[in-house]
Amino acid sequence: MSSPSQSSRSDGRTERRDDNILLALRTAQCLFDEGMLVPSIEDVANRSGLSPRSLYRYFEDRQTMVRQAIDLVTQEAYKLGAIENTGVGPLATRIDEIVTARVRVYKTVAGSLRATAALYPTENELVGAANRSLHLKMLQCSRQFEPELSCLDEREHVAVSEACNMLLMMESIHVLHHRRGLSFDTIADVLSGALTKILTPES
Amino acid sequence: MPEPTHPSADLGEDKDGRAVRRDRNVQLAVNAARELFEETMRVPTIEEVSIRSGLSVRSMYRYFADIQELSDEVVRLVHDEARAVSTLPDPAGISLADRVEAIARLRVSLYEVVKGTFLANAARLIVSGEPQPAGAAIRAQMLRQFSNQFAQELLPLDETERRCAIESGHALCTMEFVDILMRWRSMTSDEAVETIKYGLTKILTAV
Repeated sequence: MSSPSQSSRSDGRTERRDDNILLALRTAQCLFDEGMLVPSIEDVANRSGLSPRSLYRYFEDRQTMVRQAIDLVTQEAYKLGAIENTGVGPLATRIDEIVTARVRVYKTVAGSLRATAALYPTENELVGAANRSLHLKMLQCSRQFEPELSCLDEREHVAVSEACNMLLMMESIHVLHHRRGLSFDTIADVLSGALTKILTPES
Repeated sequence: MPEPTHPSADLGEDKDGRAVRRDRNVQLAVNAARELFEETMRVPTIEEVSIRSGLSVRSMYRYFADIQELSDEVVRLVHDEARAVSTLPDPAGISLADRVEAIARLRVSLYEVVKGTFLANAARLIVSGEPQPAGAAIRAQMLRQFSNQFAQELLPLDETERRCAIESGHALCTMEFVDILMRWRSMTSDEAVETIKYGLTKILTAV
């Protein structure tokens, strides 16, 4: 039987431990954004003020730490990417909602996307890590445009949903932002314009 | 590019033999590296290329300062081949449907040529964040090709519409997108062509 004072002490420890882990993961994320894609335990210790000793207590190695930091961003991205009342409202509003959500997600995950690529050098691991989020994004896209998609025959349905889905992927925003050097506002305009054309039925 | 020399003088002949061997070995190394690019979709190590080509690591380092120099050579070779399959006919007098079909097919077959180096390069680009100059030139060329092929559709649009049509249409037929369709979405070449065609037609057709 543990006395009350003992249990409260152990709770305090757990809390501090959780706070420290979160601080370490946030620090790792900042480092991704600055271009340090697989930071070492020491890098994170230096930046966060936590001791390497405690970091090694929390994380087995740098890989584990980086992986957890990426997982945390991914979870947050799911929340940021959420749309209320998916598939409801006029087409223009729904396009605007999903484009805004995806650009918002991109801003959050851009650093950790690169970290993911750096962490998983082999094809299979990378595909495994990205598959879940790809699936959710596709699902969201087909729900959001359900009213338009449901009017199409099978062949068109595939073509329209694949084209929309493609334009709304993080890779697409990456191409427009990184390769084409467009601002996020322009990217939103470009994507909305293209989606409007693709989703508007032929007269 | 080495010029063929006259095998006249004795001294020259000796040099020629070395030069021929050197060229052959360089060729072997480049081909082996290219195979590895395509199989693994990443930049191979000098050791891996040495094993694949049968050349010793020592000679590899005689021909190439480092793996970067060797992979630059592979990229150059792939770009030459890519250039050879990248031409489209003069758009004048060709229907929109045919031009859309042609560019979609061209970009999908281009992807088949550049796939290995494109992916390895993309991985390196993502990691280093530094764009490769050769890749940038090719992307600029692809953008020009797109605008040129669809000039008659793009010209009547106002500035905002035109920008949207160029950026989104061009994006739909970049290697990144063909890659998404074929590798991530597991489409066949024909399915990828269909998807690109559909998107382009919609984007380029006036509402």
